[in-house]
Amino acid sequence: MLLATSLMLALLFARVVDVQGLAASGYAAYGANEQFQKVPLPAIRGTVYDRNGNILATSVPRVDVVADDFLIHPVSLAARYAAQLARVLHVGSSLLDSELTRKSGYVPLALDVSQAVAGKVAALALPFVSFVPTQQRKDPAGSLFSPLLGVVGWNGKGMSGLEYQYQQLLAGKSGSEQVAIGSAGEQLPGGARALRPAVQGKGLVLSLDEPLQYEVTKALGAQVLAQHAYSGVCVVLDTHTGGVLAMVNLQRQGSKVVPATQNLATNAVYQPGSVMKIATFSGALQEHLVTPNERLMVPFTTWVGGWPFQDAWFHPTEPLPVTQILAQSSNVGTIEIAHMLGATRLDYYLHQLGFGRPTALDWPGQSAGLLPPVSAWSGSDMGTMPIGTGEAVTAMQIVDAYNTVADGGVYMPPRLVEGVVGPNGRERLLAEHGAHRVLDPSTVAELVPMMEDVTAEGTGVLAQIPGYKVAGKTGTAQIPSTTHPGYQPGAWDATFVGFVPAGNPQLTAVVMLHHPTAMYGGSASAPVFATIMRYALRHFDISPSGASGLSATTSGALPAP
Amino acid sequence: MATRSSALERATGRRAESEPRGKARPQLGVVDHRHALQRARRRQARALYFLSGGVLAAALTVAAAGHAMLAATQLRSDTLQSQLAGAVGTEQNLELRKATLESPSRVMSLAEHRYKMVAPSGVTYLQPVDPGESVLQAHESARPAAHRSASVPSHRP
Repeated sequence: MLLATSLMLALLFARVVDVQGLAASGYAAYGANEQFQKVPLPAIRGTVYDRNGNILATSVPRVDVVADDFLIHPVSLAARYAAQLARVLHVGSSLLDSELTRKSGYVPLALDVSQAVAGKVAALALPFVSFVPTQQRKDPAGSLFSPLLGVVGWNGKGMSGLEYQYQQLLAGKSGSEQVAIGSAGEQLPGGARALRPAVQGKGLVLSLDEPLQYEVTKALGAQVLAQHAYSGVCVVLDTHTGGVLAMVNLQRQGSKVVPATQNLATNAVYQPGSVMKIATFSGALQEHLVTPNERLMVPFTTWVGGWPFQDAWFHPTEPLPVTQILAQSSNVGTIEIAHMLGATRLDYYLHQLGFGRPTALDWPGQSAGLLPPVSAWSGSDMGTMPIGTGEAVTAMQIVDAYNTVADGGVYMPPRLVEGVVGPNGRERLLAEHGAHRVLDPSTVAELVPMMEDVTAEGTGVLAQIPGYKVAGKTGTAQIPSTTHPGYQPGAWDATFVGFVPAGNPQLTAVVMLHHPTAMYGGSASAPVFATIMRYALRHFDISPSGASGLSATTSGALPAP
Repeated sequence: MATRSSALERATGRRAESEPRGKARPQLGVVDHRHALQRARRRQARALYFLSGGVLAAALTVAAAGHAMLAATQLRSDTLQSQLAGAVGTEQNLELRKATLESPSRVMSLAEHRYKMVAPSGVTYLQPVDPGESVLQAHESARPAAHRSASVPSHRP
């Protein structure tokens, strides 16, 4: 008897040691798991604003209504509950009934419903229904900015565009809270512990201007349709800050124009044509190899590396002033000047103007363009490179290069994000960096009047704006074939790039139409440039002398936190 | 010593003479000091016991009341938190609604479809003039460009 009792006590003691000592943490965790529940505290994704404080993208709270069908007792009541829920959720009663009798334990009844609807469901006081807070990303301007903003996936992560690029900043950090729960799963008051607060996402203030973006979309869309172009791109920059005021990417689908699926301005490369002549002319002027009024003998045809290069219109060999060579976009004259400059210096100025490397936008998937190193140039490249048929560039790179001239010879890296808005609602402006001088002011002073002549009497007259002097350049290039060497017959990319007012530039813009019927940059793209700039000049109160209200509207009043 | 005993005898003799005869004298004895001390201690312990019980009961009552207040405050806090979350949600929804109502595409769509706004086929702009430049100068500076543009073909690259 004594032995049995001792044995039992020993076993009891061993069990106590096991429960209280050896496996104590496991049992404690098990108990805590039964007693406490971890409630996620989602971080609200930051809002994206334009430069005037208009909301471009924001997150609104939504609720997922979820049922645990194991908690329905008796099961025969499922049909009645389904009918009650169907009235509030506007879902078929029979569908809900079948869902509630699946015995899965997790039945999503409705996803992303408003809090008002969730409140109506809560008022039904059904013990098997629970609510999961979520959020939905909304773009109030519709598709106006969609190629730029990108999309947010179902998991709340940015999948493309700015939403992807600034995911870390916008998303914030979710938190959690452990709360004590009762036997029925209800939260017990005073039982909260281990609170890890959510860090709310920060907002972004973009340099974009919503009204201008709309006008650009309207003007470009109309021209894409009228010209039966495959796609169209337009970028407008604030000349002195490099801030992108509008960036529109459109493509045609039959008789409709829709936003492109990606940011073509930064990601799509094309053969630019004569707009690339800027590198040759700025380099030659900077190196004092030519002067604007100097006359060069220009034949109709020249041979480089065994290949013939011709001008777009027939003319006899004639003396042409350098200004006229640019204004009339003479290929042969440009190649002559490029030969004076030499391959190494031409390559140097191409790189200095931003070609051959990604832009400072650091856009996801952006292209650096195709600019072969000078060591790899073939014999004919001294003919193709100066006139823009030996390289591939993005529209963003082109507008950057011309903005350098507009900004007095200083390369200003482009930027889309002006500042970051913290949870306290205060905006922190991002520092500008990377600006560097490329051309002397004296070179710019010679080059700008030459570019004015392009729109005054050259290939870009359709870019004229009454009352303002416009400087710019047209570009037309055949589209290379994707199936065989050479070009697609009758397929062209038409570009116009320029800045206004020419004497004191405030706005720089590029318009590019892919495969338009009008073929030339001067006829297809220049009129869009004029339409857009006419609006922008009035919108930003820019006088013909360049006095501007542009900086006054930068980062306008943001909504209070 | 003799003086003390004689004084005691005189005193008791005087008391015996003053009391009536035939009545029993009460049993008087010298009080045990230790017994009295024990009784006092017991009384003190009892008092302390009841006092401690009272304090404990009071403390428990206060603790229970405090916990009840804490729970009530927590409930109130939860309610307020929920109201705040609801208000923030409503505010965000209203901000979104406002932004949607203000979007240029919606305004233009309403203007064109509901209010039948018709865009003019052509717009004539007044030429802006700089404050330092006379109207005549501005006219003169604008004329040659327009004149030249008419004579130059635009279909060139």
